[in-house]
Amino acid sequence: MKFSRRHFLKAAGAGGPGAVALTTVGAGVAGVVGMHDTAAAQAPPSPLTIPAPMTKETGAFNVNGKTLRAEYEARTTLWEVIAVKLGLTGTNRSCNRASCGACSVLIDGVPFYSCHTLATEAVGKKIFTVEGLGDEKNLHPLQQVGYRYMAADCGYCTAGWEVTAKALLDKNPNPTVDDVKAALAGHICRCAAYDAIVRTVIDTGKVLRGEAEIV
Amino acid sequence: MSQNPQKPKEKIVASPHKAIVVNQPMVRTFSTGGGHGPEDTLVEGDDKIVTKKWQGYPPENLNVIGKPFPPMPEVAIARYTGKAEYATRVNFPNQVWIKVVPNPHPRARIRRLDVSKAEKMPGVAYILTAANAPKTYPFPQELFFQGELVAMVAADTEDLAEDAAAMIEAEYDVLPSASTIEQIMAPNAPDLRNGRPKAVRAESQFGDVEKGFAEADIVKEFTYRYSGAIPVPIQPGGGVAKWDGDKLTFWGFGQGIYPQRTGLSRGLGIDASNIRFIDKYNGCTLGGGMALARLNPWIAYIAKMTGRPAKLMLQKDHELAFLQVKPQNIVLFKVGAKKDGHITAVHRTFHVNIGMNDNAGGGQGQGGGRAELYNHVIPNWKETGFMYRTNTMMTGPSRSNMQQEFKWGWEQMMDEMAEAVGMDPVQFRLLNVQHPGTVLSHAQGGVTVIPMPESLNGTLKYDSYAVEEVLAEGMKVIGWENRNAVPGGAP
Repeated sequence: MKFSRRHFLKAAGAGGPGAVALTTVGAGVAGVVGMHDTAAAQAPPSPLTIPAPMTKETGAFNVNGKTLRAEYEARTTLWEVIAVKLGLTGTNRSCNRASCGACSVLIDGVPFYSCHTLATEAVGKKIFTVEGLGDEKNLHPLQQVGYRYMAADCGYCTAGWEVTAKALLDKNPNPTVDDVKAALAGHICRCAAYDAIVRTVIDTGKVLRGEAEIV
Repeated sequence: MSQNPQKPKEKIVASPHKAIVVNQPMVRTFSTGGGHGPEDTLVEGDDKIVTKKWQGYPPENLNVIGKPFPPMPEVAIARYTGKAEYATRVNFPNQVWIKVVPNPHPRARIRRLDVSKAEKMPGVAYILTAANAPKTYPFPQELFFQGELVAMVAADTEDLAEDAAAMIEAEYDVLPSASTIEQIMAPNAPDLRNGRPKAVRAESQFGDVEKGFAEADIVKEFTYRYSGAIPVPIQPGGGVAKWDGDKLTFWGFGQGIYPQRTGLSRGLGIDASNIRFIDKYNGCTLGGGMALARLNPWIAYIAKMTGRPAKLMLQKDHELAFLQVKPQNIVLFKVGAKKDGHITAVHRTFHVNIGMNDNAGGGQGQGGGRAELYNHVIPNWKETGFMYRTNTMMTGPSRSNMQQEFKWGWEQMMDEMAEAVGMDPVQFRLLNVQHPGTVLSHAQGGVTVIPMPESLNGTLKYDSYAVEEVLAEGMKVIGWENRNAVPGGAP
């Protein structure tokens, strides 16, 4: 049995195990049936029924202080809205299984995995992505210190932990190493730059508190 | 927030690495570049830069080694601002999204595949199967491992492609399979190599191991099992293909531009000059991602057939099947040593699970180029490798060229052999490892792939070999003196 967001929403809506049955039955017909084959008419009946298209809605998304409108379905993820429909491609999707943290964004200041947040949940709320942190002309201290400590090797996870680190420093300007590790526990870095990432967040705290300066 | 005006501000400077510097005096007569002192005379030769002698390591006048060097800002800053162009970040307004339909069995043939419902789904642009795959790059006839490609569905959005993929009905003839070394070594294992022996055998030796065992005071045998490892990249596999007439631009993922372009050129049967492969930023292939290039020609073919840019971002459970992984192995040792700790002979036998690969490539059966043998002075050695084809995904270099998975067995053996001769494991290693001045013939030291200057006259001579310093530094770092010295005891 496979699960998709469509199946989950359908099951949740029906209040029971309403997912589509995917087992196949019937006598075998050799070869591929369908657009490549004229044997389609002989295909045995199957329990698979084509699902109805989902209803589309349009919502206003407040991303990094700007209000942007996008069309979405009930199952559309926040990542798809941000990175595909609105074109803010800085937020990387990696696992698409709510495991790695690469796609993290802040919703009202709290980190969320955007691959497993439905777009509809974020409508009207304040969304913060890596693009809101700073660009090359106006870098945030996290980005400046991170660059100096080489906290990004391949850089694919960077956009995710940066926004989570910002949420931490907004709440706790003087975090301990354990605070940083706890806050970033939901982020995987496959290059294993963890040591540099933790040092970056600690020392960015010092910069923001005025105790250190970036040379 | 507390700010102490008396306290001077800490300065944050670039410090990308925390290096351990080993100070070892060293004399060389030439260098292949870098590390020249001001008194050196540089002579540009055909293949190397010859300098006069310099001494001391690291030389104080080095301007690169030992200095913190943050990466080029024009490249690296983009990683922190979300502007690095990974293939997954490339989107076009009219692109199709691809989803993969994987084989659910370890080994099977497709008996029946019905895409008639899927192709009627809203937004579905193209369905690629064995029946309409390009002749220059067909789909596999036999599905040789779980997750192997059954179909690729292209639709307006990723969700619609997933909906359509779920509507493809497939029936399989499940074939007998063997996925582990234990299964393929069993007498009733299925034939996976069309009647040929089930393992490719490789053997090499130096000296006479039987003589070495006869000279030994202690002979021991050990078996080590390694279950394999899967190097999953963080960037999802796949890419984006876009055609402009007969010119293809491919934003992809992998190691190197030209191998990828060549793969696309062969797969599509077009000239490589018509292909531009872009991979400026790369989410950590870890070696395993190299094998994902196998899917590229099909992505480009779907783009061609639909007349729209095509994009694939593999989900992790699908991606797993298309990675190349570190192979499972079983390594057997027979080792002889004198009472004083000197090794007299080593016979090492590898059994390696090479996965779907039809033939053994590289060093898979040779333990990573026999590196352990030329790091040690072993008077008699023999290596026998057996490489078994099995129903698992491709194996290959991933986070090293087939080395650690064999090295760990070697180091376990060295620990256990030290215990057998009653020596400290570090002292046992120092006794048997090479030292500055050690000269070995090529045959004894294992033929190195890279012709080093030292080996040009047919021998391997180590004029510097910081093994004592490295071990001393390592012992200090891990607190070796404070360990429980009882073998197998609690730490």
